[in-house]
Amino acid sequence: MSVPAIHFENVRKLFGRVVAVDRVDLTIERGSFVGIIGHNGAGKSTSLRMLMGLVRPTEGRVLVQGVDVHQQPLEARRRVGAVPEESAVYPYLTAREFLEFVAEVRGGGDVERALELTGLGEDADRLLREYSQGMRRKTALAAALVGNPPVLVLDESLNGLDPPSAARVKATLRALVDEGTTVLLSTHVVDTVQAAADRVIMLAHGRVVADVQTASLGVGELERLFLERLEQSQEAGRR
Amino acid sequence: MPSDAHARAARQQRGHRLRIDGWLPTLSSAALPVVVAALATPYTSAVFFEFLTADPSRYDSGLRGVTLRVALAVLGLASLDVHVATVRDEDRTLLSILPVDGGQVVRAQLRELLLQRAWLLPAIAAFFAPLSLAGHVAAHVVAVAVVMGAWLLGVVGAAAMYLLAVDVARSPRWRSVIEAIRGRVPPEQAPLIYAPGTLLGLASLFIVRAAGAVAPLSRGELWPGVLWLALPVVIAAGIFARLTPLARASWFEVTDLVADIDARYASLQGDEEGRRVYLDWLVRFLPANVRVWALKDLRHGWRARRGWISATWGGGLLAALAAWSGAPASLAQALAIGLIAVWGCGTVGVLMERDEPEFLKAWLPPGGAQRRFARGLVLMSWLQGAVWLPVFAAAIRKGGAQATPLLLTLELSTVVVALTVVALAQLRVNALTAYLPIAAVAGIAAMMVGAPS
Repeated sequence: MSVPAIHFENVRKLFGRVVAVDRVDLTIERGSFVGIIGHNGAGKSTSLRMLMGLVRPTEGRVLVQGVDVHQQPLEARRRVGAVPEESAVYPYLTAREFLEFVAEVRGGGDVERALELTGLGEDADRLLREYSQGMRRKTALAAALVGNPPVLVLDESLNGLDPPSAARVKATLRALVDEGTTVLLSTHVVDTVQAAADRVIMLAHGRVVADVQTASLGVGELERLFLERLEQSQEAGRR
Repeated sequence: MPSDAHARAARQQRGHRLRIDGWLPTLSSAALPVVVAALATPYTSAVFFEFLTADPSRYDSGLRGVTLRVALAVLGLASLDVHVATVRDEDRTLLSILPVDGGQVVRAQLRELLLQRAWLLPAIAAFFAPLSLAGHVAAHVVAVAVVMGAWLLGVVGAAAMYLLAVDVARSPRWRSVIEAIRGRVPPEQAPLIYAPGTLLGLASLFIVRAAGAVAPLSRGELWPGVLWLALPVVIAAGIFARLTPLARASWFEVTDLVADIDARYASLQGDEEGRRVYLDWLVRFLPANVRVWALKDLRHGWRARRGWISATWGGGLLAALAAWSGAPASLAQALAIGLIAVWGCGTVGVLMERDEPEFLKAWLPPGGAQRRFARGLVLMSWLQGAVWLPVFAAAIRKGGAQATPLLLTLELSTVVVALTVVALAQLRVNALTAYLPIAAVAGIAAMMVGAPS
């Protein structure tokens, strides 16, 4: 059996007394496009930040291609291209210079291809401080693509993109998945995730409450399921 | 990874910044402390270098004292700088998701810090200029060398100390110690808070020796002064050699530690706590019709003009340093600096009047006397930093009898500033134009009070 691309092993994250992620067990196979949805505070961002190595699990392990993100931080980061929800760039570099920096840090990578895939080619020599919020997000995405990491983790990365850019990014991600890349995308927008992903994981109050294949769902069914599971989770919490 | 990725990115950013913003912001921010140090020479000379004109037997101890104080202050500055540069650095989010070499990142950050603080050398040289002016050129050079050695040790030592603090914060072996000393601070944060103090304690062992070596060295007595002079730099070099492996092991851990600290505070902070501002407990003691205005001013001022309010403590600290000196003119100097701080920081009162949101003026009732009283009271409360630090320093160093006139004069000045600001509030946007000349006259008068005879 091949090593899964991403594995959450009984992961729990506490912030003081607040339980952000509660015993999540999750396996994501190589070459899959997985969406994570959930209400505000469901634990989506914390889960993804643990995968990016930005937050340490209180209990359990997070593995990328069998590598523990916190025990072997460097090895894990070589395998992950990440776009955090609040992604940062160097404002006083051009997009091309920034991506060249990322390529150098990653030990190589095709900057021109990343610029082309994200549609930034024409603006590549402008300083990032002159970029709009949406263009900065595209730059962060391009940085995640540099070096062809086998796993892409995108936290609310389609937010702030205009519809043509969002469509382009989704098409790029789909093409990468077809080439064997694993994509994990979190979003609030249920329709987006149903259209883009093969599999959707729903989180509520830090727990996985549903894990479904989108091919098996009809139009609007994901949203209905999401609301139903959210209500059940709230009821269980009240009890 | 080639070794210069971070250095190249930093160089490119500097180049673009200079091309867009020009040299002026960089030059002026670097030149300002040097100019201030040079202009303050008459004051520093009277307060810190009084031993130059006193009994020659006091020369060695006076020189050691001033060198030690400046060296320790610079070491403290280095600790704070390194915390900002390597623990709370702006680039951490960007770099933490990349397979960066922690050692290279920290080295690049320290290199940038050394560049940003390059003005320290001319500023320190300007501060010690009274030595050369009195004919002690060799002592001037050696004192500057000691201070710069202390700074270097502070920069490198603080970087190592913060990285070690991360290990301590995560280690189960240290848990009971951290619990015992952390107070109300989250356990993850306690080692980071104690790191600068630990560094100061350890480094001061060597800096005391180096400061003591300035006078003998300047007289040509090389041994063992050279050893004490070189020791902080040698230790800094030794720590620097170990910094790369230490950073490789711990740099990524800093990210998740900082995330845990921030999340702890966020989870502790309820809605009401989130609205809390500096000194807002004061309003509990006020009558209801004043309370609402005072709370509005406290919140608005702290959120919009925090720099001015914090600066009162900076001014107070400078005045306290003057008050601590054994020089005969030290109390007059402390009073002068305190008065300048009170009048200078009093500007916040007129600025608040100027930038008060229009909707508040429209929505809230006129307020009248209660509103003016609240504004004056809040302003006086903010200015207390400039009063109490020098008063405490004077009380400890010279006794209550000498500190009392200082307290009364400075408190009186806060009342005068508050009354002036309240009176000028009628002028609305023009209040600042009217206040600045008054404050300037008061500042000049204060300088005359503290001017060395």
